[in-house]
Amino acid sequence: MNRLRDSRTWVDVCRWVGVAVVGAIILTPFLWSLGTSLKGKEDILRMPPKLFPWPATVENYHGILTAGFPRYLLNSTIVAVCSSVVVVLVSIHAGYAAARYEFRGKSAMLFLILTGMAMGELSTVLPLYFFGSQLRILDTYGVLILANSAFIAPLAIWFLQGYFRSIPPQMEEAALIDGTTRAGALYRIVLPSALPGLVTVSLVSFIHSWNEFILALVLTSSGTMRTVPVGIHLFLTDYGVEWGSITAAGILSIVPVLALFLLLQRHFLRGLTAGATTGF
Amino acid sequence: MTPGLLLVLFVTLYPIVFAVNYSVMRTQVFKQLAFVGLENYVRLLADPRFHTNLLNSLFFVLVGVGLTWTFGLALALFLRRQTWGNTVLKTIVLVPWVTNQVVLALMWKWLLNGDFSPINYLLDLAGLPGVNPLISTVQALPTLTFVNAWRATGFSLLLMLAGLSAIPVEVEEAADIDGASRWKQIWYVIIPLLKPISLACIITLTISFFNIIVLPLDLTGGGPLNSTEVLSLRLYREGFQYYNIGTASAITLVLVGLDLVLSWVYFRMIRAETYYR
Repeated sequence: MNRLRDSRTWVDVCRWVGVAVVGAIILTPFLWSLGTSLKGKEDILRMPPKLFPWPATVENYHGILTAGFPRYLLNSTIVAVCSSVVVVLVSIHAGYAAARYEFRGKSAMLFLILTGMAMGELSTVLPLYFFGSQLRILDTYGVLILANSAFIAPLAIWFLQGYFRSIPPQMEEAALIDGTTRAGALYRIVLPSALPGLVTVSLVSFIHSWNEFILALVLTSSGTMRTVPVGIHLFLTDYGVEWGSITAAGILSIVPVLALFLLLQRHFLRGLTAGATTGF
Repeated sequence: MTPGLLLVLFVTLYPIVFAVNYSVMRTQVFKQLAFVGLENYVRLLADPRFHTNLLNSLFFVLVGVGLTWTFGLALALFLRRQTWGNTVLKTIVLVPWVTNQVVLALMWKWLLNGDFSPINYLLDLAGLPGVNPLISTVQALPTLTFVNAWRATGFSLLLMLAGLSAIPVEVEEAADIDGASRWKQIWYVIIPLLKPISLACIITLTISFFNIIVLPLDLTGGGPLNSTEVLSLRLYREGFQYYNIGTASAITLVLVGLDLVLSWVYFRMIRAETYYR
């Protein structure tokens, strides 16, 4: 009996050590950068390195927040929020149609959507750039929102149609018999029960557009239109040695997505699991 | 409905038609000078740098996907029980996945730089020689591959956890009663049952790894000596640094072709799987 209990605690200890080691491997780059961002200039390039940023200073954060960085944050916020709204609005209707209606060309449409999911962002950059330059809409929020929502739309439509399929149609049918319109049934009956799915789609769209880099780099050119990742990338290539400011910018860029993700994580995982098991 | 379809067309038919059109032209930036047939492709196939790009991409994708899937499965088996510590660790593993790749690249660059790296400091304390993998032609690609697997492990962990939760407890209990060891259970029972979701995971990762751009661009910039220049990075350079739109379009089609073939294989396999059941 005692032996058994000993081996139990032994297994538990191993587990905790494992958890700690994996956590450390994942978090080391983040913590090291966080530490650097809180160090003064003279401490950053010190050898041997100071493992802890003490005395801590916010001068790096102050520095980038009084330079161009707030504008990047604003741009990223506008683009990410608008893209998510567009994606959600579009994919609700397209996904609902695909889930509940039969129409000519439906299989062709589903095939297109699957192709869209398989396309890499990089393959769409050149054509979108060309398109933007022809319409003279390069370097605007519009083209960024268009590009981001177009890129996420196939995944979102596919995911939501799978999700809608998992909702039993009887409730809508009952509502239709009671005299509701199709749209009414969608908005008042289907959407409330599809809420976890909608949260998942909006969160994925937001995170994707917030982090999106290559489209934003290519489709914008003026300093006032840059998004956060592009701003940091240019900062990295232009002033590759200012590690204090660069790490501070990096940390700041993570905070919004991380906060959203932690806040919505439970809904998100529930939606993802439901969608993943029914969607495919 | 229609707006959705229009958006989808933007990232499917339009780019493909565009790339096909430009890949058979001699171009000057976006101006089409003359129809040259397959000249762009022939030049690419004869270009040793393109061969390096292909090999780099193959290494990056095959090893990277293998690592990511293995890490994801191992962690999922480890984190299956819903305890407080496991939930925290699961969230931690997901952090790199929601962080943008520019920041991940800069963090690793800062962590691995030769001169001020805390890793080198610790190695030095232990009496070992320091490392500077990002400027070594041999170590840079494996390092890049590892960092990318580290980034994507959160994704495969999520899928594997979802897959594990769908396996009925009875299956493992039966294996247990039959006297199968833990390893045998994993190898002969769990991994085969996870096949459909593993397929989904592997194909999604393969496509996204082939198309990766930011991480190589900012972590190694394709260097040293093109040793980490993957296909996607070459495409970016041809398109937006050298403005060879014709060549870039040809590479785009190579990538799109890879993406589509892989997805097709995936759906064939999924269909075979459901039929088999």
